[in-house]
Amino acid sequence: MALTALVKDDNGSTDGMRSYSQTNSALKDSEIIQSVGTKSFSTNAQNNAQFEPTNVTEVRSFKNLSELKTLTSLLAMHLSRETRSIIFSEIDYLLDPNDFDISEDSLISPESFQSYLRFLTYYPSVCPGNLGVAFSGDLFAVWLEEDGDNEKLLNIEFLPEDHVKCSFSNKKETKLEEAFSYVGPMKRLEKTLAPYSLMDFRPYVI
Amino acid sequence: MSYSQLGKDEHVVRNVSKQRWREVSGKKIVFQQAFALRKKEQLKPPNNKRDEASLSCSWVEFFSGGLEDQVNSCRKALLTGGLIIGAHNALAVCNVGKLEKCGETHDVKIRALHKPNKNNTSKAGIDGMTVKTQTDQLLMDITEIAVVEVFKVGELE
Repeated sequence: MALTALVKDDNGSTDGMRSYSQTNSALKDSEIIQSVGTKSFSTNAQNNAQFEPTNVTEVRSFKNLSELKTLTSLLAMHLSRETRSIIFSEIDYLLDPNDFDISEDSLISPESFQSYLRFLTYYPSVCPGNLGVAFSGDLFAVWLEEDGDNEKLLNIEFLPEDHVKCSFSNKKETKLEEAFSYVGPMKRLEKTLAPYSLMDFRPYVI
Repeated sequence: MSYSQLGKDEHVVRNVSKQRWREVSGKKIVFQQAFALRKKEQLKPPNNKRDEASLSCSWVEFFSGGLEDQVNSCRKALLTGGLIIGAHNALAVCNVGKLEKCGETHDVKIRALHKPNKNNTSKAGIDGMTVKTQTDQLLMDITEIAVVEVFKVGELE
């Protein structure tokens, strides 16, 4: 099963879904250093570099965003440029300081984010997915596959220390055909997902 | 204060942060995390003395008109009640009967109650779940079965 996810295009549009293709073009160290040093993390983040936070909420979300991008740079050698670009675009959207509601939105736990990054390096053929944030601050990724009336939805929430909370549903028209959930170590995901033909989750040994 | 229970054919609408829903191929999908009750440590004062016990929402049929008009009225009522609803948020409409059915499947007695207050007379709550009984499977069933319509706030008038 080829898992696909919605990603924003260059104009920031979220219309349409496109497949993600893995490339192995890792970032050069010099690019990372330059990127972190100038805060020019991504196309969207360039706007953030000029953004001057004016209240506590904006400062918090901006700091959280910077911290997550710095964590990404530490693993950049294992992530393709495309993967990194999608991750940055997703977290820019989720933590946009101009549009952050402290009563409903949550900052992203760095520990959860690290588990997500390790997930991407462990399963490099899997696209980054659509990201979201649980009330706990844990990051989750969602993949959707539609085939006629069939709709498969995979939701993986990343817990600290490489653990995950995973839910899968297969819906035909409006009827739920099958569903399961799993909580445990990330490395057992492949075995857990195998019966459901979610075999894009092949492990990658570093 | 006694609250009235909403019927199976009625609907409630829940405000969903942009962090917990997405539009994929023109289809609006609400993620199960949007229906999770918060633990007390995830709540802000003064509401952080105990775990959340009810999912806040609005009663759709309290207002007249077509579904979109009703949901828009709910949005206005939520704003009056002091809630901040960003243009990127979504409003997820749930059928009460389907919510109850999801609960039955997982041995949880879910019910939707009308809980009006002076700021929001359409205020309602989805009661019956607890932080301990809200399994991932139950939350997934709610988003997959009980959510019948999703509106992006920015697309409403």
